[in-house]
Amino acid sequence: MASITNNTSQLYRITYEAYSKFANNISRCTSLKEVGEISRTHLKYLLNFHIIRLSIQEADKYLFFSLSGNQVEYDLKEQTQLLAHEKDLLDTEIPVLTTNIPHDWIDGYELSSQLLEPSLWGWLFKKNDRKITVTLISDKNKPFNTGDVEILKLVVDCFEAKFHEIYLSRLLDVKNKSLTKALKTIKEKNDQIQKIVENQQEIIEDRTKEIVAKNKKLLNISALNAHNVREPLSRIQGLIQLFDIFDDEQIRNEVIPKLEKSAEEMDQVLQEVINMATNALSDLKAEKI
Amino acid sequence: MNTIYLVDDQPITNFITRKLLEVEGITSKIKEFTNPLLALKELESENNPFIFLDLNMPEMTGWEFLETLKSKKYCPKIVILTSSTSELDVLKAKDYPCVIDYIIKPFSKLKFSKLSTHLPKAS
Repeated sequence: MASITNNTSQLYRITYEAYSKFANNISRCTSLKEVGEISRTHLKYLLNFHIIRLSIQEADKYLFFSLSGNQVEYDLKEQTQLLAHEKDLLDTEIPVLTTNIPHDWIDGYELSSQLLEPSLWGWLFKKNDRKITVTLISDKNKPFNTGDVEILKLVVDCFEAKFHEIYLSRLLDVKNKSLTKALKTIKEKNDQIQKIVENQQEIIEDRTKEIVAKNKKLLNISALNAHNVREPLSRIQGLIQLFDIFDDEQIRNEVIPKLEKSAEEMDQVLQEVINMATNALSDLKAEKI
Repeated sequence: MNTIYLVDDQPITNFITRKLLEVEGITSKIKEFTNPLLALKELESENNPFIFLDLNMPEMTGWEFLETLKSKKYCPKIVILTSSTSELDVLKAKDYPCVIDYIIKPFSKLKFSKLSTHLPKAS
């Protein structure tokens, strides 16, 4: 029976099926955790690798995603977290294949001691104006070939689209949260303003009542005063009418003294009225404070 | 001839009213009161008197005077003669059927002529 590796069309079919499964599952993911889970179970059927790491620029940060055996790591970090060869890739855009493995990086992975003549592969892909660096560690047991680059590109396309989608939905989420917060603040401020307005309304009503009461008081005073002043005045007017009736002697003896008395009383009343009005006004002013 | 009562705490006002009435030929007996309480007392023995009544008096206000008469169910003809120009007083006076007129001081010949139909005629 011929080895499956020699049956090219069958091999393509299997690879295609594995990729379809992978891509379908990835497209259904809603979080990096789910992407990590799908990658852990499906990616080994598509590519030979010990460690695969992607770094994708999102705004001013980088999304790092790495998979090794069952170990999945992902995080959004600063540019300073880029590895040395990733920085070179971003600068030169030239693919890397080297046996010079950055140990301080791969020592963090469990299987690093079991690697047999490991090699580091590195690529820079551009997708939708975003730069993606891909690092892959293979060795004699899990060899990576140049021919696998095509399927790797498809895998990276798939990751990139999903990562960006997740990134945007997170961004949206953050914006929604801040909008909700702003809305809450606006509502609180509105409530405060409402309270101030209600308070003002109360003050205005109180003041209006006060003014109405004061006006009534003043009106009473003025009515009373008018009456008090009119009384001696009406006497004077009445006495003047008598001038036509009385003769000179009678006028001199009877009317004039009464006129004098009435005029004197009117003067008194006027003074009282003026004092009263002045006091009432100063009382009202005092009440205002 | 019916007696005319002048009830006003100001004697000068009573003097003026008396003189005006005399000039207009009123020959009825005219009694002056500066204290309405005394007038009330004397009214008891009076037959159908005619009263000129002030409103603003210290011992008893004109309104109290009217209320007292009302409580006694005694209703002589009364003319309110006051220096008050208040509309409220004019309206209030209408509540008393005894009050046949409301005159604002000073009393005058003209005001008298409007009253003359009510007044006891000279013989």
